[in-house]
Amino acid sequence: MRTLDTADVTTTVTPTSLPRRVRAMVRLHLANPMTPIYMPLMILSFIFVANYAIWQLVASAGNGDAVGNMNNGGVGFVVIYMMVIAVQTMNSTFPFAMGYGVTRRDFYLGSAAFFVLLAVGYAALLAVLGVVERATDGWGMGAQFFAPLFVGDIGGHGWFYLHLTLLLFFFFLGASTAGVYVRWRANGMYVFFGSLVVAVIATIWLIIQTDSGDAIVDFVTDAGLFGMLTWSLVVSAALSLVGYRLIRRATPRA
Amino acid sequence: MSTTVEVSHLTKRFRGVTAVDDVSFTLQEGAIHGLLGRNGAGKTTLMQLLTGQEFATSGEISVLGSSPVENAAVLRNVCFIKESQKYPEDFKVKHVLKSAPWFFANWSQDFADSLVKDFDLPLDRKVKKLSRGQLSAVGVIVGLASRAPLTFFDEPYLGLDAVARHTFYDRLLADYAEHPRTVVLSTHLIDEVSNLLERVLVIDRGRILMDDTADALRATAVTVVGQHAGVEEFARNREVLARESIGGIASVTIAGLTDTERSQATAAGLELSPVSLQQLIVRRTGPMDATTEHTKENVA
Repeated sequence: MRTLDTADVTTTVTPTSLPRRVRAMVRLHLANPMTPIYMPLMILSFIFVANYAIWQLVASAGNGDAVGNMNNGGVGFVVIYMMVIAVQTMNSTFPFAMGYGVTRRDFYLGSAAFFVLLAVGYAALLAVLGVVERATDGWGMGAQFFAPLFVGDIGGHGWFYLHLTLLLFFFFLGASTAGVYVRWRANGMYVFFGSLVVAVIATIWLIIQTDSGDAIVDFVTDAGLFGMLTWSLVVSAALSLVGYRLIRRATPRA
Repeated sequence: MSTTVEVSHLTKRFRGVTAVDDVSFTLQEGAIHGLLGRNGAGKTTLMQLLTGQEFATSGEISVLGSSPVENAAVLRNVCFIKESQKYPEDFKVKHVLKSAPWFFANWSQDFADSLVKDFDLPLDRKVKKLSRGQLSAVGVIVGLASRAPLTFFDEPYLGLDAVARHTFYDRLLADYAEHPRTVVLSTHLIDEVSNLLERVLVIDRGRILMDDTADALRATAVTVVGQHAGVEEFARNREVLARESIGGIASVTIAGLTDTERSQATAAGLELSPVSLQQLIVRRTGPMDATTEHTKENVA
């Protein structure tokens, strides 16, 4: 039988600061940059090039005016893609990080930092491309892709704010919904989506019964585009808090 | 010797199931512990509780002096790659090995690289596409190369062939000798690992059935072999764990023999041989078969 002096035993490692732990978690998310960065950029490029080809085709057919009316919302895939990333993060990176000895708190703070980082990066990229699009008069063809005309001429900062708030909303919508799954599994999902349907119907019913449809329209009109985007930040913050509360009580399952 | 883990009256209940039932034990610092038990005995749940992955229903857990739950200072010392470990979507083996050092202060890249060669692991393959054995190898490599002061292995051999399993045992033992740490190895391949283990915890239906050094446990029973009549005569009124006979030769495994009783047996021309840990545990945790039922009547 082996006997050892306690002095020989691998000593415990020194604790690290919260920022370092959060940073390690962000790096874990970026360990394989294919999913969060390369893939969406490739898809975005592909959609853009495909659209460009179609604009050329339409323009060469002598329908130059028609190009200006085409807008298929191709850029919108980015927010949906990011929501899926948030869902995968909660579902599979969470149990993995726990195996690495990461606390739920550090995991969530690191993941939230990762989401904010991605949101800022993509918002900046899309805003720049939107500005270029306007500056080149729609890639020389009056086309609209990164800066759809119906939104209005809101400028680089405007586009940045719009993309940033939308991305944050979808990240934390994904994180909190997946949080319900990680916390309560399939049963949680049934109850959640059941309650959601009930809540939506109840809200519509309430709006009709109290005759407050006009008031809501007034509220949205008064707030304007940027007012509403700012309101979405409040919702995103609430969702991120919900996700945090769920993960703090979740256990990794097979 | 100091203890790294102290558990008292720990209970974990899931809806209608008590997975861990009022257990108390300690883990010794710098020892390799075997956590042995049948499927569903509560091994994984117990390890999840010790690593803060699961919340206790009641009872106390102290790891390195404090509760492991949401305790970053404690958990930095812990590595627990589960048998059913989930990996991030799209992670390749190389991403696992690239990220591990960010979380394990004692990580050894050289050791990890040599283990990758030993297990012939394809670095560029997605974890999802790995075979069961390769998946186990990933867990084994992270568990070993992390050199975490408190390392848990949860049935790390699933899908590994005999050669790979022995590679794991050899590397564990060699690295442990140079970098002693507290290891908990859950397994039901008891005989394969019994030479590795210093302490043994046997868990059955959520309760700790045995908790002792491997040597002490082996000494709790002995197999007596000899002529049928002589063996039966000796076994009478003693606790028989197992009984076999071929022709005129009988062999019984008897629990709790004193040194005097052992000498008596030898004097009576009977042969004594040690019991394997596996046999002992099978007898203690397995269902009562006809032989043992019969024996109980004898004892009564």
